[in-house]
Amino acid sequence: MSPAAPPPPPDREPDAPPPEPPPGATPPERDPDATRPGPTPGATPLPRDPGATPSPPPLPPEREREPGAVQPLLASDPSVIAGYRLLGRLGAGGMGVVYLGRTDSGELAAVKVTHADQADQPDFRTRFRREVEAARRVSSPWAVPVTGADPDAPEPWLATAFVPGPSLGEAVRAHGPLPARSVRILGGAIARALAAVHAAGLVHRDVKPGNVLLAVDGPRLIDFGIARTAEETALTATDMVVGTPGFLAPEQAEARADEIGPASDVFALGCLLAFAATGRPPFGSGSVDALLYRTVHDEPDLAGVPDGLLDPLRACLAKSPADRPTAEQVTALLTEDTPGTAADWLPAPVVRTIAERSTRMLALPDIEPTHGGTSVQNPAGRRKFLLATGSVALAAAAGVGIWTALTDDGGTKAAPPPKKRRWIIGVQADLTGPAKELGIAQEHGARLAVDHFNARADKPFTLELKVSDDAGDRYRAAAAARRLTTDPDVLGVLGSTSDYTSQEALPVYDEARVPLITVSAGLNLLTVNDKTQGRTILRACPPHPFAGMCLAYYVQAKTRSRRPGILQERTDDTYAWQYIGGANFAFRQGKIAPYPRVVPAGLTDYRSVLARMTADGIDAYVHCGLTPSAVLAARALKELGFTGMKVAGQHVFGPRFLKEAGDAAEGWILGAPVVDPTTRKEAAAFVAAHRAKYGTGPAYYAGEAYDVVNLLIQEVVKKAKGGERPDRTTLTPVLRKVRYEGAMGGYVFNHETGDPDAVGTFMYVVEGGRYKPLEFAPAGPPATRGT
Amino acid sequence: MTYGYGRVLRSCCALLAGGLILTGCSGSEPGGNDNARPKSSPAPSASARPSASPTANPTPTRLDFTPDPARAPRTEADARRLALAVVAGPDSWGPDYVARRPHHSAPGYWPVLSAQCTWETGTRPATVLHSVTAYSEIPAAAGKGPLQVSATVTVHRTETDADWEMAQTLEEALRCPDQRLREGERISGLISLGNPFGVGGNFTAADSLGEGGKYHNDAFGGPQKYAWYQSRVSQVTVAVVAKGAPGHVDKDIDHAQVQALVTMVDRAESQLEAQS
Repeated sequence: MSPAAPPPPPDREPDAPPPEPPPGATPPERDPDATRPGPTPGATPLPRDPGATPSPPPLPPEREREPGAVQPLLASDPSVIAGYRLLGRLGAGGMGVVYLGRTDSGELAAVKVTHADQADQPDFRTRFRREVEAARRVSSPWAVPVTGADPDAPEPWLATAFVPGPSLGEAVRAHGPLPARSVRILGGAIARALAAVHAAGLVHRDVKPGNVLLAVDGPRLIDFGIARTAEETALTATDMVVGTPGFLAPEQAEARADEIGPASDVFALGCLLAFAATGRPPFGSGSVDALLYRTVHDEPDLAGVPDGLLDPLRACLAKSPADRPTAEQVTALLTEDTPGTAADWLPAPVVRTIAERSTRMLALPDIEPTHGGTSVQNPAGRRKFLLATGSVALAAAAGVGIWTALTDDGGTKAAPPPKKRRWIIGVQADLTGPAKELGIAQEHGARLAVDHFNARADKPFTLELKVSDDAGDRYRAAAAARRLTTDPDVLGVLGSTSDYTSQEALPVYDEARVPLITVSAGLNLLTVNDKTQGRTILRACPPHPFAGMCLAYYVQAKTRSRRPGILQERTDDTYAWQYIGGANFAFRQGKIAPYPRVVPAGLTDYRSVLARMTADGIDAYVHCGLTPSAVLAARALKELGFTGMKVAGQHVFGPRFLKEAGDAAEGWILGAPVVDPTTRKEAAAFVAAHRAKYGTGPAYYAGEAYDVVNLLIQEVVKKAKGGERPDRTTLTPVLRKVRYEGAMGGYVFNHETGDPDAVGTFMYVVEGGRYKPLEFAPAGPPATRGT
Repeated sequence: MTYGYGRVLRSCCALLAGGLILTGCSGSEPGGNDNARPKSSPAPSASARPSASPTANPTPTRLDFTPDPARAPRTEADARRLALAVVAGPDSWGPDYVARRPHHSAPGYWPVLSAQCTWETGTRPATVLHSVTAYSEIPAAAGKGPLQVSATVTVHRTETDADWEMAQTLEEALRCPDQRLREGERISGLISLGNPFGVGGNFTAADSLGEGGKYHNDAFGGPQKYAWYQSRVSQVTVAVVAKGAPGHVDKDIDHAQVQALVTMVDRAESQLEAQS
């Protein structure tokens, strides 16, 4: 501000304060956080200060684990259960194991698996099914419904989403009692959750601090007593105490089974709120017998409960179930609003603990795995560009097992009864969405390949095509994939059409180990050297970063550009970044420092941006973005009279760019992972067959689809020699080793990743409103520059 | 279903994904001699419209945040008040962090990345109402170097201006994979990655980005981790940066950094959102 002051040392800062305050500057403000009064509790629970008063007595033992690390999977653990990739163990006991899993859509889940011997106890499965059905009817933002379960699995399982927050018990132990307002909000929310549980015909039976999880927007009630085995709680036994001593109603303490009902949960809620408000269970601690006796005969110890809470708590803690309010009525007694989205319902130290827990979940593996190195022959420098696999320690993860909701249906049904086996090639494609031209072209190609096979006189079996439309919608992609993988007769699948549908679908194929071959999904995250993702994919198109590199190599091969402009348009930021990252790298490989620009999604004034770039002397232009922005850029560059080479990639290549850019498209060079079939004599039969069947020549991507389906069929036939039906789960490694000559060219795959071991980017120029094929882009920095 | 906590968690995941990607690409060739690089340019702003609606992959869920136009800062004084309420102090980073002195940047402080990829003192653009950086650290201790971090809040006049700042930050790593912070300190092999809302697991902020590379301090033995995370909430950007130091574990730095970032996003939202 003050030009007279000596400038501080160069410093982006972020990183260091100027060594001294500039003369005349006002003293820096105190950070508001830094002035928070009182000692700052650590983000992790600290041992209680022995001098603190009053020191809460130790809690009665709780069944769930203390907070700690997620344990690694054991060798004997499965890696996948139904739709969940397992990341670690949250807990284990005689009844089974609770795993931390991840759904296809990336949600964390707690998956509780019951040991077969437990599950085979009389009535267990029946009860499990009944209770899961009831739990699915529970609808409350503060209760976490079960949404995935399979009572009929050999080891029945149950899944809910995972919330990393601490339990109420942990929070109170670490930070002391909650303030009155927090207790009110807690009570209101849990009472609402219980009302929903009761409305569904369930009784929780184990409301206690360990079953309430704290999140920044409010508490969550977990574990509605579903699938508890006899060992856990003796749900149906009449002569055993069910629940947790200290948080039990008198009727539970005395095991008066016919009196146990919703009112028992209300009593437990009273205990829980007293604990939250004072740090002590209201019937004390100590031996179970003494606790149970006091529960039945003594008045609760509510000393220290704030005034406004006393009456509601006393009402909840009435000895006779009939005298207690319903859960619904408790919400009315605790009039504080529900937490809503406000993050301030809890004291700051507790919020920090929650944040800490959550950030620790960062350390879980498998978020978005990236590339590992590959042994590709070229382009040169590829290895350097490949993205390292982040192996993140599982051990740092924290959290107790928590049950929350999933949107995924999670269940897998048993295979249909034996019937005549069929031989099916699957197609997952966008047939009705934004990339439907590509999807339909691919379906046509696949159908022709199947027709071609079925026309053979000596065919060993008849093939069928099964098509699953994901509409280009990433949220429908996993379901579309399951329609194919759950059919045991599907041998392999062509698809999906688009980047993000493929990303969502891939885990389903990986889980089922069904080969998936794509000719158009170039997202780099699909193929990773990772044990859990990308095991089944092959792709006949380059990952976007390599395609971006190829565009830059082409510019270098064909021009003398010293100052190529490269522009990233953020509508599809991942695609654009992968292209510009590749192009930036490849230009720098050629000792050229490009001129990068990044512009927000939705920018309409490309004229201003490009006027600046051209004024600064760019002599070539690479557009890393989608078609609408490429159209705007093309018009702007035409208006500006730009004469350098203009280049764009896969997502611009298509009829829309020609139509919308019109004249401005002329001369643009586009790279795409497809060849024009009409230029290849090897494809003549395919083109003729396409015309015969569909009345038109093949669209782009049809030929590549035809080829890879033929490749799949060829290997299935080889494997089926001798009459054996091939095991589809063994096909991917075989397919990756094949060198295949198809109608559109040769296909070679990296054995490890399934990526193409080839350039794969064909260049076109727009001439007369059409795409004119040119040649493959170079595989590396050209030895000689263009003219 | 939106669980408040899930939002935070997913945002963290997104950042981590960025972090992973950032680890691998450090092998880029030096880009030859920089002849005249363009100056770090104030972005053309008036022409762009806000990028609230990505068209390529519409997500069914929206950001759970509705700004109240009446609460949007319009004056420098408003902006300063908001920035100071949002910026992360040592408490937001973790119990081991303390404020550096001075704790806050000087008024008007606005570093720019020169054509030579060196950070220099610049003039704050007119599109910025206020910007403040709060410096914290874990002081050097036995066997550990000083871990320096800081948090920056920048209040722009419009959301579009903030959008352009996000784009420019991404641009900087493309333009200058290697940068000089000051005498004796530089960063290298920078990669930056954007995660607009709904992408890469970002369900917390309208836009988010991560930038990472190696940090070289002449006083330290070898290279350390460098990471910059930045998110946008309406017209406000919040950023955190950490420069690794010997004896500190990357994972711990990451946790602190994400925690400080998420804290600022939450604070910014509560400063700006419609109160029901």
